[in-house]
Amino acid sequence: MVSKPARHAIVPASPLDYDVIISGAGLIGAALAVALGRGGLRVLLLEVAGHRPRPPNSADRRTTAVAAASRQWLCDMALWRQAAREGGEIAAIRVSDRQSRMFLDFDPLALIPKDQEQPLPRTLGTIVENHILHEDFSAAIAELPQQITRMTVAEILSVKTDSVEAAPAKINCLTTGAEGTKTVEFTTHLLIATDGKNSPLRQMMGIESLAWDYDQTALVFIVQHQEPHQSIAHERFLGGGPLAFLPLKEPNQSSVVWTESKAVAAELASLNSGELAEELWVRFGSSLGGLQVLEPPKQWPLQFAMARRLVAPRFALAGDSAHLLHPIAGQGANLGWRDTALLARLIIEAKAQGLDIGSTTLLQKYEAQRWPDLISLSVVTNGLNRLFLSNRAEVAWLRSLGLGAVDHLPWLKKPLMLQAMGLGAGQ
Amino acid sequence: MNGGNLPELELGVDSLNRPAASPGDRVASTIDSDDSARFAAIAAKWWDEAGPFKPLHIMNPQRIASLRQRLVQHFDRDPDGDRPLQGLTLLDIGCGGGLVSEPMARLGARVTGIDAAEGTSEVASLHAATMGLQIDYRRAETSDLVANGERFDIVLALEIIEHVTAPDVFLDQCRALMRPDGILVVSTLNRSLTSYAKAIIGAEYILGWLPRGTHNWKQFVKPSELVAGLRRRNLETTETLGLSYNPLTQVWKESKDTSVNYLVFARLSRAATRSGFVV
Repeated sequence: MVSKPARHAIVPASPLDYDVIISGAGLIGAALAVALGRGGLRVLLLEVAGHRPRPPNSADRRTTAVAAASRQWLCDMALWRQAAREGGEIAAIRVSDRQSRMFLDFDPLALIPKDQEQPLPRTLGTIVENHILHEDFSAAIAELPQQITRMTVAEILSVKTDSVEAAPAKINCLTTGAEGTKTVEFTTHLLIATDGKNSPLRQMMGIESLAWDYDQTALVFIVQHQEPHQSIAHERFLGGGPLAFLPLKEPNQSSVVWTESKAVAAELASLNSGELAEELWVRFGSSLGGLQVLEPPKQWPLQFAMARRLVAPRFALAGDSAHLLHPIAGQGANLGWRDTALLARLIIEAKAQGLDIGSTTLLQKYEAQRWPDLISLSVVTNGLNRLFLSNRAEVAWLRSLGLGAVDHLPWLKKPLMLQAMGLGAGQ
Repeated sequence: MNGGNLPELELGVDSLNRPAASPGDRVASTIDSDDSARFAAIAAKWWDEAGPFKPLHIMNPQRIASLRQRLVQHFDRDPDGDRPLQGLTLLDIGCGGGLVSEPMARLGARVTGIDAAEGTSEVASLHAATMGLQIDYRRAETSDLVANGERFDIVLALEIIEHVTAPDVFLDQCRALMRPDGILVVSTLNRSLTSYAKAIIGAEYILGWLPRGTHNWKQFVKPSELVAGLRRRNLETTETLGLSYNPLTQVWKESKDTSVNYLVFARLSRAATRSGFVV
């Protein structure tokens, strides 16, 4: 074919609306937006009115246990601000059982061999009130106005992706403004759902989730205790589920996460604060002295959920939209941040090479690298829960032997502890 | 073997180092019409990452990373820059749907992509437009651009020399399309027993990655032949780089092993540029 070149007119290119659209501006979505914004991507952070988390409020003292590895990532992303001052450090975790009374102490300092070049983090983790994290993340978002657009819409109407032509993803939203209600369409290379456990976006994309109820409820509240907590977290396994004391910034305050069967939890929640403190005392004992309940308990029904896929064409799930774990290992938000840390790294690497940041090749890599962590943690937490709930004598004996034995077996204790710090195998 | 379906393993020939082509040959067509038709039939599938071009999609991230690094080095650009190829003109020969053209455009290059297969430039143009990229795609071949007297800072001939009918003429044309301080990158498959086992028997017959008949082993090129062919055209090879695939991790990596896939980076030799001998 020797002819004059069949020249196509250069197509006037209209840039996509956003490199990435993130739906859901909770602790996972907001952190991801900042990580991507700092990597030079243009991000739309969508919130749906009504689904939006309540504005930061210091009266709401719900907490998150931020594991050492998550804390490091949040520091690297400049998201760890007030939390550094206001968080309660966990220097050690003391695990005990209702019958055997044997203790298992997780003390990170004991793990550091003298010749180790890379020191372990100084503490296992930090207990931070959620409103502080929200404030820190919002401040970081506000510092990136060129990169991150935050928008509240009335409703997300539809999502469209195409695998064969690999066309951009489209998301249709209903907005209400001064000029009334209208439909707006945004295009993007990649749509990420961080819209929580019932993830409307996951459902729109037709990704099934395997889910069940535990028939357990977690009661969450703050207690004042006579003796200082000395930065020690307590995890005590009772008949109805685990009871955790998580040390707050104030030396005489801890956040209590108390898991019981639904029926017992409902009864406990109806008690006045004096009666509740007494019930707590009966189960926890005297190690922190007298206890005073500072606020009415909030109730969280426990569920397990795991999405069958983490990705679809130009679509990814992260955080609770992908997985909801029993809080026994305190891993929920940490798992979500591990999703976002990996996703942000893969996206920023692809951008540096000029590659399509929403390619199936990239998304499959994300999914393949997240599965081992998600599967092992869900098996471990389900297994731990069953083990500690059993009343059978031989299981109780194994359990007591187990706890006592682990304490004397550093080679077994170390991996368990690293897992709790979010530094276990696979990270 | 295999019901007589497998191509015979005959001795290939060094098709790059025949006697010098006459100047008129430089504008001759090198298009293999059978190959061209085969690619035209699946043009719509270029961007389907689970489709017939899946192997290329898997290879692409490493191929682009290797390219980016050498191009940035050659033109002395900031490796951490957002658009390190800003302003450089780039020709992607046998661009297909634009798997290489698009990343290069995002890195700042002014990209021209040519492909002889019917319907391909339309697919590529449409995709670039939806991605918000400006790329000059044409259904054309190297001889057309040579005839127009066009020149580029970067000339890419990736996985294409094994599909042309006259590799020696094709190489003449690549050289003619280079600017004096430009760079030519040729990637192809080695004509080795390993490549016969992996690229033909493995990829086409066992894994079914590529349609049977995608590659003709006899048209594969040995690195030594390519380097010698470039030298005969006053092109100095700066690096020969292997790309190896690990089927367990499904990851491509740079390696010293050039027995299957490899890239060659070349520039006009100093003698040629000094004497002003630039065709």
